[in-house]
Order: sequence, then C-alpha cells, then structure tokens
Amino acid sequence: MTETKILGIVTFIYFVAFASYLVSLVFKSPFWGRLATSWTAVGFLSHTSAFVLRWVRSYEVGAGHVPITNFFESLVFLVWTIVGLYLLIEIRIKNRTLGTFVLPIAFLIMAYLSFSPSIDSTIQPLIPALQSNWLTSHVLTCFLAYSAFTVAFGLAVMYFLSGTNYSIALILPKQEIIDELMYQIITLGFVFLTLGIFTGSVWAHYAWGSYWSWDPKETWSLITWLIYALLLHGRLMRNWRGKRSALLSFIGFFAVLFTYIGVNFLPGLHSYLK
Amino acid sequence: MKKFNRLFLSLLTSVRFTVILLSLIAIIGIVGTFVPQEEPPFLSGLSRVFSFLQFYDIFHSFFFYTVMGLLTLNLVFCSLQRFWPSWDRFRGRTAGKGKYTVKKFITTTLPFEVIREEMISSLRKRGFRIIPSRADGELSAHKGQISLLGVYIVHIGVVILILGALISSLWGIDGYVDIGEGETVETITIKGKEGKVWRLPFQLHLDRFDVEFYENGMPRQYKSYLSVLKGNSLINRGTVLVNHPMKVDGFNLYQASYAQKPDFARIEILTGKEKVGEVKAKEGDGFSLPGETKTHVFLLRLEANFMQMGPAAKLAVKAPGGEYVFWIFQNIEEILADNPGILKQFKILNPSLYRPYTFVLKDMEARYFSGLQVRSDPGAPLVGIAAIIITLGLVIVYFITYRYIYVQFQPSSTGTDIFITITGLRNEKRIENELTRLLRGIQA
Repeated sequence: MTETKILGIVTFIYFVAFASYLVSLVFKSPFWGRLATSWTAVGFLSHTSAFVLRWVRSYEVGAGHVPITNFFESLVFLVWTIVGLYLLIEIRIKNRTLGTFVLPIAFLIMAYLSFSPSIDSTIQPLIPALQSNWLTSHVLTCFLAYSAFTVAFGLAVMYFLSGTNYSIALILPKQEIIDELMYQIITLGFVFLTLGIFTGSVWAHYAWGSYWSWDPKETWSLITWLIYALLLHGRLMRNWRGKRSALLSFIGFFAVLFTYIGVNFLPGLHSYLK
Repeated sequence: MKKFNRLFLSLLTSVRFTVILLSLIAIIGIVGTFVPQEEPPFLSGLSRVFSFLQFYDIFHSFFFYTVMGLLTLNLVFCSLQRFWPSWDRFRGRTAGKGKYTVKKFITTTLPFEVIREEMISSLRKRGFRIIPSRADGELSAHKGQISLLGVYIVHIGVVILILGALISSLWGIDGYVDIGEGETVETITIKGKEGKVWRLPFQLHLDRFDVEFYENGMPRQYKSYLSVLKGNSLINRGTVLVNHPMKVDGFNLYQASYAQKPDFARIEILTGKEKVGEVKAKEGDGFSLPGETKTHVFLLRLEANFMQMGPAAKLAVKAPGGEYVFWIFQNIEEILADNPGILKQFKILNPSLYRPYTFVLKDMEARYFSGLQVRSDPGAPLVGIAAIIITLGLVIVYFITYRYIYVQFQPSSTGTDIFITITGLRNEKRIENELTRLLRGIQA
C-alpha cells in the first residue's frame, strides 16, 4: 500500500473521529468519547506510518529526504502535528470537548489534499537551497507553532460558542477554563514560532546570505509573531482576557494561514512551496 | 517644555503605546508585502504618492526607522520602570505576588519549633529557597524566582536584535557579481541601488564551475571553485556551494545562481554555395570579409535561445554603401521548414541580406557564469547573540514556574495553628497540587 492510499484512509478515520467527538459532546456519552479518542489515535498512528513510508520511499526513488519539502508534504505534516498536539492536550486535561473543534480542521485539510487537483503528491528531489541540516529544525518548529495556533483557534471558536445563548453553550466548558487553556497553548505556539523564525534566519544566513530579507513569508511570520506578542502583552499588562484574547487568537490564526498559504501568491524566496 | 517632557515620558512607559507601535509595524509589514519593494521606472498618480511615502522601500523608510526607534525606547523605559520591583522580589526582599493564590489553614499538635523545622525541610526538598526573615513566627520561601527576570532577558535580547539589525542596514554591504569561468572580477554591483558598483578589497577568479543534475533535469548542486587574489598573490582558494558560503576578508561569498551564456560563435561565410571563410568571434568582435578591405562585420550579440528559435547571433555589416543588421540562426533549416517565406517577410532574419554573402552560424561555445552574492554584515553576530538571549529568556518565562509561599505559625493551646499562603503566576490547580505535596511531606 502506498502512503497516499493510507492517507486517504486516514482522512476517513479523522472524519469518523470528529463525528464520534460530536456525538459524545451532544449526548454527553463517555463511551462515544472513548471511541473518538481511539479513532483519533488509530488515525494518528496510520498517519505516522504513512509519513515514515514516504520517507523510506523517497530513498527508493533517489530523492532521500524528510517528507516536508513541498506543499503536499507540508500539509500532511501540519495535520500530523495538529492531531499529535491535540492528543497530548486531551491526555493532559482529561477533557474531550476540544476534539469536536480540532478534528474537523484536520479532516478538512486532509480532504482538500486528496481532492484538489492542483496539489502535486509526487516525491521530488531537493533543490540545492533546501539541502541543509536546518531544513528539519526550521520546518519542525514552524509547524509546531502553526499547529498550536490552529488548536488555539479551535479554542477561540469554543470560547465564543460558550458565551452564546444557544444550547451548545450548556455542554461546553466554562469560558474561563477555555480562556486559560487557549493562553497556555498560544504561549507554546509563540515560543515555537520564535524558534522557527530564528532557525529560519540562521538557515537564510547560510543559504541566501542574509538573515532577514523582508521576503513575504518572513514579513508575515513577523506579523503573526507581533499579533501573538500583542495578545500575550495585553493579557499580562492590561488584563485582556476572554473576548479580546479570543479575538486576537482569531486574527492570529488568519495571519498564520496567510503566512503559510497566502504568501505563495506573492513573489518571494520561499517560492518552492507552491 | 516640561509638560512635553512629562507627556513624552508617560508615552514611553505606556503599554498602550507599545500596542500602537506593534500594530504599526504589522501594518508596515502588510504594506511591504503588497506594494512591490522596487520603485517603478515611471511615476504617475498613485505611484508618485507611494514614492513620496517611501512605500517602495518601506523597510528602509524614515517612518519605519522612527517606529523601530520608538519601540526600542518604549521597551527600555517600560522594562526599567518595572524592573526594580521584580528584582526585589527575586532577591526575596518583598513578598511575592501572583495571579493565583491559594490559602490554607491547618492545625497540629506538634510544637511550633518542630513543625517549623519540618516545614523548612519539606520546602527545601521541593526545591524552595528559604528567605531569611526577621520574625520567628513566620516563614517565607520561593522557587523558580529566575522566572521573574525572564521577561527582562527577552527584552534585552530584543533591543540587541534591533541594534544588530540597525548595524546591518547601515554598514552592511550587499552586492552580487556574475563571473564567467576563467574570469577575474574585483567589483560587485550593490543591490537595490540602480547598478552602483563597489570595489572589493580583493579579486575573485573563477577557476571552474560545476553543475550536477538529477535524472529529471533539476539541478542537484552547483559549485564554484574560486581563487582569491590580492595584488598578484593568491590569498585563498576554496569552493562555494548553495548553503555553504565561503568567508574571505570579512566578506561572505554565497552561491546564488548560475547561467550558461554563449561565449564564442563559429560563423561560416559563403558566396552562393561556396565557402569562402570561417571566423570564431565573441560579442563585440569585428572581422573583415575575404577580399574586401572596406567592409567590416561586427558580432553584436549572442543568444543561447533567441525568441524560442535556438542559438542566434546578431551581425552588423558596415559597408561603404550602408549598414546591414540581421540575425543568423544555428537551426535555420528547421526555422525555414516551420515558417516558409519568413526571410522575405522580415529582412532582419535574412542571413543573405548583404549580397553576395551568406552568413551561417555553425555553433557556439557556451561558458558557465556563476552568480555570487557578496555580503559583509557587521550586525549578524549581534543578531545571533540576541536570538540566543531571547530564546533563553522565553524558556525562563514560560517553562520555569514561580512560586512564593508565606507561612505564619501561631502557638495554640493544643499545639500550633498554621496559616499558609501560596501564590504563583499561572494555573491555580498546579499551585494547589504543589501545596498538597508540601503538606504530604510534612505528615510523613
């Protein structure tokens, strides 16, 4: 079985997991909750195996590199980090509500990958600029940041829903709890984004001869960083909690999306991600 | 004036001002990605406004420097204003303060001295540092107090980073040069300054250039073998690859690009079907025609692939009767097969324009040109140090947790009453857990 087939199945598993989380949330059923966690875990493990398989296969076709070097591979890796991070959080906070908000994001990205005709899923050899030891640490730190911000976005959605008068508000955790968790996840994302920018700078210093060139992706990573820096400072210094935090988490997530995908439509040095 | 000073100072210590500045930088970034960072050659209407506002080089604009300068001042003033209270707490001189506080009252049959010693040893076991206190009936301790200073470490890092970036942008040299195999250069073109040329303190000679390809035709790696000369003596020799720059005399040489450019052309000269001569020439060369002394032919240009029609050369024949300019092609037969009649239609494509001669481009010798980026960046080491400091500071802020505990003992008729207050910056639940573990240590 090739890794693309496995990824197709993983997409389906993530959908089933999302549906189970939803059922467990709506009917307050611990059984469906355990089922949802199991599906997520199975999906994650299969996803991992697909990742490893692609890595191994890249050596067979003579390309030989970590599969994180084009748009297809990076999205697969992004979903992998999102689901992995979510599972860690679930184990830590012992609450499954968040799954209803994170798993659909994972499912949607995976579905987009399998159905979009414009995405090239073939294994390509590395262009000279990508042949560097910094590749892995740069992509890993950036994607851990992206996934943390994605989870924080899920929490922001939860926060707003929890504050409404709809009946769903009754089955969600209290706003203060969501707010606190969101803050912690954003903290994690912020540290990783900082590391991602720094590792990228070091790499750029060796590859492009400049640690910072105001390339659109660089600029937008800085904008993203500033938005979350604003959130953290506002929270600590001016007690911006709840609504303002959640709103900034929303805006920050759109900056993440633009940094990751939007800038590909602008000319720049990161153009191999198209 | 005094009023202005006070206003300025209050602005510099205001977090609201920080928010405004950070937002401004974000907006500048948005403008900088959507407005191309290169001024168009002709200005009109909107582009004139953009040019006036320095939008085409926004990251080097006066406005951007001003915002960054104000941010640095704001950062320094805000940090200074808040530093001493944190320092006193770090030294244990003032009581700790946190977002979350848990209070607990317990009573024990043990006498005061015993429970106090028990408490101290339990606190020490949990990694707390006991703060010496004047009164006997109280006890205070903290741990992870370095976390209180983390934010200042991050801010120092950011200031150093901005300073390094400023040095880079003021004194850095960023240029590029194309060197053909076997060529020597000693000047580079400065980027973004409309062809401004800068003389290097050494000469670069490209000994050899290598490209390797993957099976699908993508370049795998390319490599320049360089000799660095000063005057007539060789001072360094090395290779430059993508991702592997070479250091020379305070400059870094980076492999940026490469190109294969035609160098020499072999041209056959015919009259009718008869070959009367053959020349080898490079761009700019001139040669004369056999038997004619007053007519000169100049090779104006060589193109590896001219208008998708393959290798081509542009010739100018200067004869007493006038000047004839035309292109000749290596693949002339294929071009004619595809476009019959094209020679009659376009004079400029006719190799027999100057009668009775016909010029035939036999082949070309191509040469590799290595595109090198040459940079000297005096700010880079400072930026590197700043990155390490910021990372360290962030780890201290977010991954070391600060706890402060204050205990009051009161001898009672049955033993001792103990009031415990424990406080921390994050997460109520974890503070409670900390307290539970502490008390468990005592009961054991």
